[in-house]
Amino acid sequence: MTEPVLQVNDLTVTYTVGAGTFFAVSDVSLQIEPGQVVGIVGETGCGKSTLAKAIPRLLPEPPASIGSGAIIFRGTDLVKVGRRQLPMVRGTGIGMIFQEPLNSLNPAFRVFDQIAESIRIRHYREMGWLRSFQGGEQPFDYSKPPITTTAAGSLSKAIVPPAAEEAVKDRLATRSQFREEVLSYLRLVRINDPETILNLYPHELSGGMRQRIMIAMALSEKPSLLIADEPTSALDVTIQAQVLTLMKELIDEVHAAILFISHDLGVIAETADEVGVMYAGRIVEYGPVAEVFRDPRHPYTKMLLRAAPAHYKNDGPLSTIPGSVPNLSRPPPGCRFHPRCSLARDVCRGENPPLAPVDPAASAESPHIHRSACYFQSEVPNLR
Amino acid sequence: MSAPPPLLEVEGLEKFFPITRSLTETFQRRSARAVHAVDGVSLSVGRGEALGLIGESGSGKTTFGWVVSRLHDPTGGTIRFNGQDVTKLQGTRLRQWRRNIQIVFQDPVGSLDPRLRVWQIVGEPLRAQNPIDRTLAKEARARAPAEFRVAQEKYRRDLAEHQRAKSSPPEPGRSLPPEPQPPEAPKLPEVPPRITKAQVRARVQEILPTVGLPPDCLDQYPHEFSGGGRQRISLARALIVNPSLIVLDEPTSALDVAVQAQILNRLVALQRERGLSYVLITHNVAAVRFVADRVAVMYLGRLVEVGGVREVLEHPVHPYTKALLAAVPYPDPSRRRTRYRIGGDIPSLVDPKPGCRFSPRCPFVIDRCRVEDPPLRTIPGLGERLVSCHRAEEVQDIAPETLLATGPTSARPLPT
Amino acid sequence: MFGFLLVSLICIVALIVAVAPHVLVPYGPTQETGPIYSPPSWAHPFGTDGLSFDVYSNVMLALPLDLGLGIGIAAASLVVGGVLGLLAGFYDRPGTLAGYASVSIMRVTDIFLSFPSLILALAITRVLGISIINVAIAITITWWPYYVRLIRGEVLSVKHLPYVTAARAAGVTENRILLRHVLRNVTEPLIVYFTLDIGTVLVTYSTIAYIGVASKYPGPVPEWGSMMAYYQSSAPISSYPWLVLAPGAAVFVTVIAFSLLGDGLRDILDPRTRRAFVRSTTPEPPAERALLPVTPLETSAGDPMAEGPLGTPDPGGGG
Repeated sequence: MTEPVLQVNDLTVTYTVGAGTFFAVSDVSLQIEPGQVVGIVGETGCGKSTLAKAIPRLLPEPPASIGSGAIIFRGTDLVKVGRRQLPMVRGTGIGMIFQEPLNSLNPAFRVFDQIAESIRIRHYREMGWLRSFQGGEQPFDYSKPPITTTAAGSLSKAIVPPAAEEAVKDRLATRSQFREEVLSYLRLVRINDPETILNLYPHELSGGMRQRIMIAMALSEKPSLLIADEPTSALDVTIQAQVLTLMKELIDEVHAAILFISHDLGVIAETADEVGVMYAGRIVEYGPVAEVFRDPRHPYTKMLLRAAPAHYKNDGPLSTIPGSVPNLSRPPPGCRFHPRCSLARDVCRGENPPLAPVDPAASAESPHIHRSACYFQSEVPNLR
Repeated sequence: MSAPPPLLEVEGLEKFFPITRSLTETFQRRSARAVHAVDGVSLSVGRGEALGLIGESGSGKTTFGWVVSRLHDPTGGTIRFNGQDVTKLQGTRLRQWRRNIQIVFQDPVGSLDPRLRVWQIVGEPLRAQNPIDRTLAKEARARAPAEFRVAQEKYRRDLAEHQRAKSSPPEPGRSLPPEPQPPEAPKLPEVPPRITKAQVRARVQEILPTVGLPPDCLDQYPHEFSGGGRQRISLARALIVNPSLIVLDEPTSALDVAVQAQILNRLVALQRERGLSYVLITHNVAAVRFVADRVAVMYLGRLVEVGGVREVLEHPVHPYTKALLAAVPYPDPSRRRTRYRIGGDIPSLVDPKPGCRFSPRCPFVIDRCRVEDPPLRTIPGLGERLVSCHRAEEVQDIAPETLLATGPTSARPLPT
Repeated sequence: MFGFLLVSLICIVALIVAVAPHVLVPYGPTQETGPIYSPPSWAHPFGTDGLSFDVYSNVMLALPLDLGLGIGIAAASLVVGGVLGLLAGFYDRPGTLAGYASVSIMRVTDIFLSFPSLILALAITRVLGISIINVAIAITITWWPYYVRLIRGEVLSVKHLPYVTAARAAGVTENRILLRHVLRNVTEPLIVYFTLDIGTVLVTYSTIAYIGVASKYPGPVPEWGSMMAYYQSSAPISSYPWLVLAPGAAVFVTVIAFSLLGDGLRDILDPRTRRAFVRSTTPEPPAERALLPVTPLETSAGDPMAEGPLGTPDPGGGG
């Protein structure tokens, strides 16, 4: 069995603002295998974006802080990485795609320079010039010769295939030598006229084109994990369909695992292999996407699926979820959904339900089976 | 004139935004370019009807909503409201007319003044309309004596004429003119009293429950509400002057699914309770499906298809409508592994070339589409449906799913 | 809030000195005290100068004037520049009379801004004649364009917000929109800028006085800038450092106090920090009204990175 790309164990992330503490992510566990697409779906404020940024340690700390848990990326626990070594974590195999591509691209650089920059960084990393975070406290020193591969378990060893140093040095020589590589990534994301696009600035591109550039940048770092945080939410429907098509094709071409964050059930249904439904900072249901969507076993998932408008007004009102999302500075005790749940009983108010397998016969060991954090999950199919 | 005119009737509406010429362009005497945001749109909305206006960014749907609400002045075309031409209304008359048509914006944060309390925000239209009523009533009162004097003068002249006619010997073949009636003393219109703070608060308190807000939140600030709550405040502000039409500009786009469902339910309920008309502007096909009675699809400033909601969404004729419907992701994993085959970007609206606006991306394009504007026309056998496509008859039975290719990595986007 | 305390203290002291000088000021401005060039002591906290005048008394006596000039010039600029900026920003529809007025205001502003304000103020003082009032007028003339620029920018960003359009759609008149929605929402940055600006004005005035174009020192009305100029030229600074340091420190403390106050005000008035104090309602209301209770987590684009350390983080998802 292959090693998982990412393993998140009981991760808790809090924000401290003034006297208040927000429990943005509570006890979240996840496991992503190579080549797998895991979707996280949930409403605004459920903590999905925080999770996405917590994994590559992109959250500003403070106000955010990782309370407990582990983020094991290719054998290394990112939670234990010190502040000064954080830059080494980013761009070492975790690629990010954000929602708003205009803000995520530097407006002062042409497309070429944007992508060339991430390729350059990857080369530095492959040459060992960017020290792995186990190795070092020293700042980058581009004048020094490459440092030999670091100790076992380090990031650089885990991710970087041994590169022919001479070839790498050659590629570093001039920026024009990046050109072919940049072009190849632009072609990879199906950009029709890469030679022209190369010299444009981000503001001269359409939203869909910018998002392709973002994807090209993320891929050019040759990540083993791609975190896509609402990558298509700012795009128009037809453009979103194009970008989703592209991403689905790339899943087959590049063997990166993808953590796909979205509020849109439809987008998750189209892309993910497995889905985690988040509510108020917790994953309340997890499992293969077909099973979760066909036979939801958490009342929240069920109600969320039904709230999506799919009929005409003469067919009756849309079903809604009573109540509102709880204030995460004072989350309700027990199951966080119980104030809005028609199945709630005393046990739900007192104790937090564990994420238990839906099929009691299934091996509880596997992280990839359908699970629901509801004491009465067998009653959910009969809900209303 | 048997049937009453539709509530809102728009004909050939155009809105161009000129692009400021750069210095070099001015020297080169290049003519000023313009963004053709709305380019000849004709539509009508009946009483109590909800019209869904679907389109992507750059389709001009929001501009259309703003022009129809007279927040932008149209470049061309006419807007008739209740049969009255309101295209040229200005000043106080325009501000008075505004009570008929209200608008709810997309941005739940930006559409409420952060410094005002709920009752001030919701009551603002009341407090704005009250002085207009007072001004118009006062003007009418001021005019009345003069008009009365004119009428009296006329009466006196007519009476003198009449008496002269009566006293003179009757001429054959000429009947005596009827005796003029003295003019009635003018009915002076009441100047409505200045609206008080207590009255505004009372009215606001009345309206809040109809949008699902508790009546005791009068003194809260907008930032104390969630996105859905803010949208309800916007809706209350629109409703307070009893408009007959509300333009809803992406009312749920910033909201989560569960909250969106609540707002959409509320919109439908309000439409039924109050006989409201809506123009629902959105890119969200699902919202249009649920709220609208009729649908108009816009692409790059033009209408491409208009018809009943069920007909258009279940049997789209125009290739763009098909492309749009095919692009909507469904929360149903059994429909996945599909590849979308409409390539290309939404082109620029600056001085568009002639021909069908969708032709660069259309999979069914023929040469004629690139040179000749397709008119919005009825299609035999489709009743009221209007479609602007040269090949409507040929493509009408192609299902939207045809634009999706199933199977792994089979299709690339069609070349543009 | 340190800045607020410091500014209050300075203002109270200035008030006392202006109303009842003998409470805090032992000697008159040109009162001979006996020893010359005596170093700081209990009797003369900042020492005495070559004419045996008490430096402490002079520094204190200058406080009301300098503070008044700083606040007065900034306030005059605020009023003039603020009104022009509001009008130029709000009524800028091209092709109308107001539009031309707006363009004219901005051109005049640009012309003023293209001169170094200090040199311009000196030139105007030369024309008007040397006196404290004339210097104040000269600085005000060079100062208001900054406010025009600031306010116009703020107005331009506020006037396109949907709530302004919503007010227009409700039938609110333009003038009322300007006062009710636009003006209210530009006051915050204005107040902050004004507070910070008082210090800058003070430094500028002191600079002009230091060059010697404002008031004479020693004289009946002491002023920090002219004090520094006089002491620097009349006695070697290495032997009698307190003479120059005392008025210099006074300028320094006053300017710092207003800077701190401005920064503090910015933090208080910034809606992003204020959001942290958001109330929330308990218990949970029933279904239909349920959207009300505040979830401070809700913003449209959930990006804690973008919020910066001052903002309430959004622990939630985007969208």
